[in-house]
Amino acid sequence: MAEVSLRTIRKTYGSVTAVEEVSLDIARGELIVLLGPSGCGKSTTLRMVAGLETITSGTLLIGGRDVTSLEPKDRDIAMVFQNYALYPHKTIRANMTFGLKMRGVEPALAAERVEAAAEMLGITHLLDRKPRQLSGGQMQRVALGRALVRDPAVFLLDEPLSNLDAKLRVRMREEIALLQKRIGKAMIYVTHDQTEAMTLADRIVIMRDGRVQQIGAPLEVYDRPQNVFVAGFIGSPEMNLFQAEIAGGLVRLDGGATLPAPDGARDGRVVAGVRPEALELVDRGVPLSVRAVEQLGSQTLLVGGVGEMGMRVMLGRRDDIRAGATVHVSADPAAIHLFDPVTEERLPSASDAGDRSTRA
Amino acid sequence: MTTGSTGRRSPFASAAIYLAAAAIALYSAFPIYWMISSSLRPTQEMLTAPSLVPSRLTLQYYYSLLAQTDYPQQFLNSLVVALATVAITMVLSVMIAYGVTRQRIRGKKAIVAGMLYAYMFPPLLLAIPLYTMFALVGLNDTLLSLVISHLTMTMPLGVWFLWGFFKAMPFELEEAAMVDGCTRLGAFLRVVLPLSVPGLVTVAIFAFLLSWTDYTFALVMIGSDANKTVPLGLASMIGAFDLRWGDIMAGSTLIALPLFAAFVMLSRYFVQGLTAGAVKG
Ligand SMILES: Nc1ncnc2c1ncn2[C@@H]1O[C@H](COP(=O)(O)OP(=O)(O)O)[C@@H](O)[C@H]1O
Ligand SMILES: [Mg+2]
Repeated sequence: MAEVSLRTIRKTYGSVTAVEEVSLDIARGELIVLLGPSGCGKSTTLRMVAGLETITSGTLLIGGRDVTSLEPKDRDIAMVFQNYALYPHKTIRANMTFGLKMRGVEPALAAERVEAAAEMLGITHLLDRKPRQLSGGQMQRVALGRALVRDPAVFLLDEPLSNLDAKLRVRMREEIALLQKRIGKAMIYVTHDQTEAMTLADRIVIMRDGRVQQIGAPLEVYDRPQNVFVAGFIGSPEMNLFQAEIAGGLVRLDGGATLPAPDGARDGRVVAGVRPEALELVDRGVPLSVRAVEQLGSQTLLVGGVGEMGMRVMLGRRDDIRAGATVHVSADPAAIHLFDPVTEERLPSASDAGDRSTRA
Repeated sequence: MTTGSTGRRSPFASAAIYLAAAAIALYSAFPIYWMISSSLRPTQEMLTAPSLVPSRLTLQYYYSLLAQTDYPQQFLNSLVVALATVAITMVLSVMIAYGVTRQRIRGKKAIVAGMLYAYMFPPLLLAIPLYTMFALVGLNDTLLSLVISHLTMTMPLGVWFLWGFFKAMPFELEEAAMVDGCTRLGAFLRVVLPLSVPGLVTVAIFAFLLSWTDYTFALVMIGSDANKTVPLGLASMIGAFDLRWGDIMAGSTLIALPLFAAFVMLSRYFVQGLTAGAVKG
């Protein structure tokens, strides 16, 4: 049985629809990431689960219980806010104990749980300080700790790492992943950062303009993006997308170059997509005039063009290619994604057999 | 709230700053000193040759003030009016300011601006129409009418000040409290109010000051001796025939007492409250 069930949940503000019919079942121990550009309705969805926004229509179940119209305090949730929202007038210990006290947990037991959580997060030495005496990373840990001691059915995190510097963000990301596996509770994690989503999620929910675009495991959405938006959003550097035509087993890019078409592709207009890392150097293929070479250490990114169209190619490290050179690239036909040019939906191909990702 | 100095200063500059500070302190404190010392000085000395330090101290004015005049009653009236004004101001301005910051209310800016606009009228301009209204409902010459008049000064100030205070407080704090198990009201009482103490204290002190020292409204609203407040009472001591300076000074000293007490006890919060908007927290 699902720990959390969202059933056709909608949110409107007057005539503005912020979230359009989200349906999602989250299992115990599952880490779900809501991913999408700013303003796509991730926070609103999360806040509806928390009870901080009313649900316009639909049903929300937590632990099998209909909590659609319950107060946040009656929903068995804990939340971590982007700005941490620690109570400035309370010590760290009091911050972490507050939720337990409000729920009538015995003081001795509460103290024990706070100590245990502080131990787990390595913040024991901070317990008697006030929030303003802490660094951003430390406040982040305390905010996690405050959620952790509550031992709720589901953890809700809204862009918890976006106020940290890049290095700390990576470290906290790893810690959150380990922590979540260890406590085995359901978690909904909101981010606009696809790297965070790919590395953390059991399943990613990709949203755009209040609509769910695709739900699937990280590699599923990477391998089989359901539409042009997902294709462009997941993966870094971005997937190359071209207007093209399928004819005679070839993908003819509008610039004139051709790539091999995947098995079973029907003739007609398409949007063809190929990831930079799926392209490789060949003797005879698409001629790419290299405009810039970005050295990333173990990899080399070629930024260039095919006629009018831009194209990026990610190779293993190459020291010998210079800007201005022309190279020939091609890709395995199975790595070429085809989309309907009008609906922008994925066109089924032979390699999609056994596709388990779902389309909402 | 920060007390850091702005780098190194030359000894001369420091000395100049200290000197200026001392001059300002002296300038503001001297009248207070003079008031207190005059209230303790025998009459002859005051009228003939008042020295800086009284040669002899006497409590005679305090005795006569408390025993032979309506001063104790007036003091009580002032206290009742001021405390009632403070209490009502606090409750109403907290509710209004919080509502205006947290609920989606149409034209909430207009509400706050309108209240400030009302505050800009001189008291006398409000006092006369108010008096007519009180007379109509039979409230004229009562302490209640005075409390209501004082609210016209204290409410705009309170709402405006607390509005800034609540606006600066992240809403997530209350949301965190609600997730932690509070009701909406509980979150307000347990998180917002404790964090607002400096603002609340500041508003309370200002409301008390405005009410306690008001002369204009009292002059218009109050007719009977029994309902006079201290400023009115003191003014009536400056009679046509005699000027009882000693009594007046003793009365003034007593007026100032609660203010001193409040300032000393609450100055910590008060200063915090005044600078709250200045530092990004
Ligand atoms: N209180 C509100 N009133 C009107 N529109 C809102 C309100 N809150 C959010 N929205 C709209 O809902 C959409 C989704 O917002 P949000 O969930 O915060 O996006 P995200 O967290 O994905 O960046 C946005 O277009 C935003 O403008
Ligand atoms: Mg958001």
